[in-house]
Amino acid sequence: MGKEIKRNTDTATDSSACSKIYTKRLGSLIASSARPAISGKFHVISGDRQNWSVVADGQTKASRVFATKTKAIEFAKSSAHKLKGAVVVHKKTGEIEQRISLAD
Amino acid sequence: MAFGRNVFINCPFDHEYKPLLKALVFELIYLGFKPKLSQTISSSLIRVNEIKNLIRSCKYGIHDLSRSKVLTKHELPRFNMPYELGLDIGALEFGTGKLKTKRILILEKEKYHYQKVISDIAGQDIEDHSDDPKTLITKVRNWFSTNFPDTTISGQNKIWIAYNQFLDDLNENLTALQYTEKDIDEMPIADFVKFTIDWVEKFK
Repeated sequence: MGKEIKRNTDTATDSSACSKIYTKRLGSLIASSARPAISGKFHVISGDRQNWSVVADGQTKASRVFATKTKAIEFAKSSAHKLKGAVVVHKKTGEIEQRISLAD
Repeated sequence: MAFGRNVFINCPFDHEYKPLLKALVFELIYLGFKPKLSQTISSSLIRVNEIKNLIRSCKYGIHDLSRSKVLTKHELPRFNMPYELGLDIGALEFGTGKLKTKRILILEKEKYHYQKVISDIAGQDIEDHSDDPKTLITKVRNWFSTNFPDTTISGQNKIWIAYNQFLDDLNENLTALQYTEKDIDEMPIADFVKFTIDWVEKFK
């Protein structure tokens, strides 16, 4: 991945239609985030029975499970704060609801 | 890819259904299957032939009938999904050779809704997802687990957690490259499939 990757402006100019985004280089770039060597990022993800899980980035198991989303976000923030990382709060659909940086 | 790993997806491709479709596509790739979709086919004559080819090439068929009903007062129900389900069941019933090994899963939003609109499909594998991507992942995962009794299939929580992280990586990286939320949300499903394949390969 030596060269800088830029937005694919050749194919993504028409925002009214489904615009092609994928390139092999872009696919590789995004895939490289899958298993980060070091990450201070924590995800807040909907779990079973209305619970909310906190999961460290790159992991497949929850580090803690909470009865409320608010409590899960609090725990994720305190975990991320120690590492000057970030919290990603997900919607029930899995999409991103909020990103909270704790780098400062 | 081999017939035994191909999965024909018969579902709506509208904006409202996209969270379910993306979760389903991710799950199939995560479990080592190849999703086959008919979204890019346009001409009606070519489309039906192409769908027949897809059905012929897939051992598994997942058919979501949850949108085969009117959602608003002035809307008409959509019959493409029940039609394509009929073709797939026909291939299983009247086909020969490997077509006889086909497996079909029917999804709906509410339990037993099918009994009101298409009761002839009773006896098939039918599951409800309540329009919830995690529920859909769980139901599909359990269906594959039943079809592969000698294989350990990844648990639904593992798939769900991986899916959430994939969405984050996709969104964060594309946003950093100046793609808008709309660009990302409306990317062709074929692109979403390719990004998923690359990411899952690294993650697993």
